[in-house]
Formats: sequence, structure tokens, C-alpha cells
Amino acid sequence: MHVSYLIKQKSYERVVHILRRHPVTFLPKVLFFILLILVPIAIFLLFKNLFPLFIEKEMIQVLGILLGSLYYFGILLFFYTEFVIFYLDMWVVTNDRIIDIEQFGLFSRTISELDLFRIQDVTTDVHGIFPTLLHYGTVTVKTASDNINIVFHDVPQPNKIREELIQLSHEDRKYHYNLDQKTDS
Amino acid sequence: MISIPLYVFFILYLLLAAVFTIFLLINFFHLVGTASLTLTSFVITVFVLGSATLVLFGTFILLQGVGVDWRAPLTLFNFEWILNLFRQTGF
Repeated sequence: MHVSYLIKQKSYERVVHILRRHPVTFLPKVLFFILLILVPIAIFLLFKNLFPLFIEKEMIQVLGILLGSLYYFGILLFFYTEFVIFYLDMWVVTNDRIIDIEQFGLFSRTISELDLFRIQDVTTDVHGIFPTLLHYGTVTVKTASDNINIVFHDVPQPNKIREELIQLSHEDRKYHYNLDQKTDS
Repeated sequence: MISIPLYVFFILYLLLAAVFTIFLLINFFHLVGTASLTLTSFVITVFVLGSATLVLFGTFILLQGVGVDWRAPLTLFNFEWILNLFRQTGF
């Protein structure tokens, strides 16, 4: 499926950006996954040293192999699910609107849409050593309404995104202003 | 005495592996359905599938190496364990 089908792209609409979180924000989960891989090995070595006769029993070996296998399936599934939840958070910026797709769990997704001409303010936040060095941060898009605010979490090049959003918002506002003038006349 | 044959655990293992496969497919269809099947997600998917295949293959190789009789019963509970406990304490 293409993004144009997902956002129900209009005929005059052009996709400018498809943004996702910076890959480095997934690194803590990768490190946790690597740690989880080592747990059964550590438990096996512990039992081998403390209870060597217990480990040599056939039944225990079979149960240990089956349990270990299920554990590794479990952590692979956990890793893949976490990746899908991370990767499915995306922000699509077109020349007409912003679409915010956030995945909160495997079966929980929120999609918000905002027309560009409604944008009042765009703010970027870059806090911390890694975000500063690797140039990623939060972009908050505010409208006149208190209810509708879109936040781009941990996106790369937030300052460039902010400038482009302001530019696109001006162009969209001019387009809608001209359209209103034509309908009035 | 409560005992079950060892192959029951193997059947349970296969059932749980099937559940894992179902959730794996759900994750994959999430990626396809939200236009997120890019090179990155494809590489991660291949990594996960490859690792799962390795785990399955490794499991079967290790089980073959043990060479156990799957019909052998595994005792889950034996009343004599409690009786032996009381005999040892001299109660």
C-alpha cells in the first residue's frame, strides 16, 4: 500500500515529507533486547556450576530446551512488536495538510489531520546531548483552537521542518485567500 | 500420582510457536497496511524471521542430540513426596 492511498491523497495534493522518529531513539530497546538474549545463557551457566547433576537429567534438558526456545520466540516477538509500534509513528506533510499517525500498541492507533492554513505557531524543542549532536527533536504545531495541536516526536532536522511548515502554511493561506476572493466575486 | 507424557509438552510448545507465528504475521500486516514496508522494516522483518528459523532449527537439533523417549512420563505430583518430608522430620 502506498502513502497516497493511506492518506487519501487529493488530486492537487503533493506529499512533501514522510517523517518518522529518529532511529537512535530505538537504540535503548535494541540494547535491552541484547540483554534479554543473554539471560538464558546466564541461567544455564549458573545451573551448570551450582547443580551439575540436575542439568544432566534428560527430562530437565528437554524441558530446558523447550522453555529456552519459547523464551527466545517471546523476545523476538517483543522486539518485532516494539519496532512496529516505533516505526508506525509517522507524520505526513503535504502542501495542504499534516497527518499525524501514532501507534500506541499493536491494536491502538490515533490519526489526526490538520489543514496547513490553520497553523498559528510552530515550535521546536531540542533537549539533551544526543538530540543536539544528532539533530533530532520535537516539533509542536499549534492552531487557534486549544484542542488541535500536532506534535512531531523525535524527528530529524526539526528546525528545517519548522521553517518548511511555516513556508507551506503561508502558501496554503494565500491559496485559500485567493479561493475565497474568487468565490466572493 | 499425577504424571503426563513428555510429548504433551512438545505439543504445547508447538501451539505456542503457532501463536507466535500469528502475532508475527499481524505485525507484518500492520507494516504493509500502513504503507510502512520500507527497506528498514523489510530488513528487520527478515532478521526476525531468520532468527526465529534459527531458534526453531537449533531447538530441533538440540532435542535430537538429547535423544529422549517422548512417551516417558513426567511426574508432576506424587503424594509420597509429602509423606517422605514428614518421615525425614520424624513427625
